[in-house]
Amino acid sequence: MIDLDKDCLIVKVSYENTIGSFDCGNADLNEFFIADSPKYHRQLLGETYFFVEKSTQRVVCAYTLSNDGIKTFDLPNSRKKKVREAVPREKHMKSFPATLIGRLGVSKEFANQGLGSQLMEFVKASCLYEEGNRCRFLIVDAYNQPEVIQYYLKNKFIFLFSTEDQEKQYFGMDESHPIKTRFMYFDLLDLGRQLFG
Amino acid sequence: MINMTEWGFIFGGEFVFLITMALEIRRTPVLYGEDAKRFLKEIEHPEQFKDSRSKEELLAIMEKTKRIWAEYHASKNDRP
Repeated sequence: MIDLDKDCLIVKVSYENTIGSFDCGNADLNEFFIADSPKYHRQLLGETYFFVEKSTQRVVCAYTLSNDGIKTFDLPNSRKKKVREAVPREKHMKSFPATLIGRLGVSKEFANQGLGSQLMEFVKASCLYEEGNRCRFLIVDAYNQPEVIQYYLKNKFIFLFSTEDQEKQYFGMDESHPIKTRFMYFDLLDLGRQLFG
Repeated sequence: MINMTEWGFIFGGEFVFLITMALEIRRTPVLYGEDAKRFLKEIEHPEQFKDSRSKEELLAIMEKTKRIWAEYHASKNDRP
């Protein structure tokens, strides 16, 4: 079994350090990591990192992080439009700092070796280590596919919107269409307390 | 006047990329009503995110993470 610490090196994507070849089984993700991630980096929209196996230089896994947030507007749906017009937004708005996992993928060549969980452990610990106390949540807009949702649930993420219908309503989607992604979040507070007291 | 080559660049390059990214950024979540209340209640109880591993195991993960970043910072991999 491959170990991200002992067997790999982490590299940040830039125009000089690109991911030459990568296949995680999802064409959109592959295209993003190979073609778009340097542009994303240059536009200051997010940082992509990838792990390379030291012995073979093969890309093992990759992920992209961006600064983000979770905002709550504490009014019932039915009243929000009316009240929004009359009351300053700040009175009801709460904003929590979060880090968005924009993309995450493990190469098919290294599938079924527990790398997805290792990578998630690393991302969580990195948020606490590198970001300090500036980030409370990890959020992800996960593909609404059983194996993907299961992966995040297994890693203790929970749904941000209680139902698919609520999420569709929020994004103004037609209720008859299937929802392609689900927002999920992980609260870093308890992990931080367990590690640092 | 913009010639066909320039239009090709605009629609095939960074312009399309920026529109795509703008659409993506627009998805930053805002919770209203019952969802907001539920979320605010959930985060009062962060123990539901508690890791089942022991403190020693979690500290080992943190040490491993620190080693990976130390190696990264010591290399040239963090140059923009």
